[in-house]
Amino acid sequence: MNYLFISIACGLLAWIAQMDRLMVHMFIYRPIILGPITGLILGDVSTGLEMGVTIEIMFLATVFVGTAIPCDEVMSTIISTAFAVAAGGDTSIGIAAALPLSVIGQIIRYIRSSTYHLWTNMQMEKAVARGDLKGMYFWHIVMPLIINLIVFSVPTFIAVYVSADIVQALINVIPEKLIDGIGVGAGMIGAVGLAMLLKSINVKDAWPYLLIGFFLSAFLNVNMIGISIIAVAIIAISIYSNQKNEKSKNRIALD
Amino acid sequence: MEQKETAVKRITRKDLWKCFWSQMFFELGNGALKEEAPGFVTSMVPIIEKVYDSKEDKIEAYKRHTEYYLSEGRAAGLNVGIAAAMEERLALQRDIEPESINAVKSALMGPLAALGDSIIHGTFRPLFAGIACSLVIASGYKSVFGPIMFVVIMTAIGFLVRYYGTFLGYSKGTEIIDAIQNSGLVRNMTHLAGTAAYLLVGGFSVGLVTVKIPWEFKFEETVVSFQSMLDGLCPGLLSMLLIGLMYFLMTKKKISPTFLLFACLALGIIGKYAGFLG
Repeated sequence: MNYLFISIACGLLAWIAQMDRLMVHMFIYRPIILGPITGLILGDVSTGLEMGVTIEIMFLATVFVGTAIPCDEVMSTIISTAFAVAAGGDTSIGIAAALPLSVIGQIIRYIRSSTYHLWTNMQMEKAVARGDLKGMYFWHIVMPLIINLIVFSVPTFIAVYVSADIVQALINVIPEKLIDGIGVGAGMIGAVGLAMLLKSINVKDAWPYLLIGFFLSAFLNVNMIGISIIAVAIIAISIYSNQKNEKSKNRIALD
Repeated sequence: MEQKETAVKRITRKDLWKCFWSQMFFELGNGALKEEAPGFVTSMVPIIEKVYDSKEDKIEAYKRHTEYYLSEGRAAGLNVGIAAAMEERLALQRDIEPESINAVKSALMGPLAALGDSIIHGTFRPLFAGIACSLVIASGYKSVFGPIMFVVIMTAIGFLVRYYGTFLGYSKGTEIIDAIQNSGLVRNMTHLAGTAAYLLVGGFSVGLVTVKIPWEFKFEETVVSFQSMLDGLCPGLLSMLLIGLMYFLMTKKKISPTFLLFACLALGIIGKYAGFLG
């Protein structure tokens, strides 16, 4: 397939993923999904999976709280996966680029919610005042879809289209040992993601479970599905013991 | 005659399904000023079109929902369901104040956002994503089973939350409001989800974080690698310590995660050049 069409497909993927975040929310905007899909489009699913996993771990715990917009993983994943595929499956340049690239999407989303979506909102409220149903749908659904198609697809398309040249230029400039070092750093990035997750969950008396999980996987090599089964069991046990406690409290109150 | 008309205007399951599908556009077009208010308006279209007759009443009802609204998109389904029940009551019996609809919405959007953000985005999403990642790593970056499982489970959770929110919100609105506001439901659920998350994060630590020290010692003729000695004592020790260090820097020293991400990359480069990481 022509690389122009491949790049266009990547641009459309960025739009679909961003719109999924605002619409059906099937979580296809997460790197773990976008990585392999981009890999599929570019003809290298394995590299896509590797990029998807690494970037997913980087952004594991970014939670959209209130109106603060976190770093954007969509364009970052698609473009950096294209970089990795252009580098012949070497993920380190893609990984190094992923973090800076995530700022682009963040800026675009800030612009979106503070400029053109404000405009479509105002037009929509005018349609509401007229009682114009078609107008409401047009300004709430059709118009944002069209504008976002341009705003998210075009930059992604351009970046993917020129990715081979960018990556070649980077490989020429950056020494090999530095690229290896980035790979080593990428292995440690997971620690930041997991620490962020622990911080955002913030349940103080749950630390023993952290040790149990660590013990199960490090010493007994239980895989994640096995650990999930134990997690379900622990939740069930605490629900039952909570119920028992409440019942005995009620009994004491009755006596 | 009047009885018959009321029966025609009652909200049926079919209307609630229409309302459910309208919510697919809930967060589309949200701007910084009113956030999800336009989505709330379009979600209410099937309900308002059904229960009101005159155009003036409909416009009045739509305008009501253009007030600021911000919650978690899926958890908000409960709010839409409750608003549907209240609009129906206002239209048919006229025994509630129109302002009370927005009052209930404003009272619920905070707790629902907290519940949705912490459970869907703060716990389930990272957990299933982490499981998907470790499945992909375990397959040697070959199998797409993990990602597919992630999409299927997360979509199912989103749809279930929205479905039960809309339908139960309509049928048992006030009971649910009481349950959310009075009991420790929100706190209990986040606590349980958090406990499970800690267990799973402990499990992720070995697979998702790799730190290796390439030092080697020579004892007479045999070469002993420092890393294999460490793994013999406690596998994954360095990964766990690194997570602990990052947690300490984030919570106690208030260092931003983005800075720490770059710091990790920098440490990897320095470690590679200096020979203490590899």
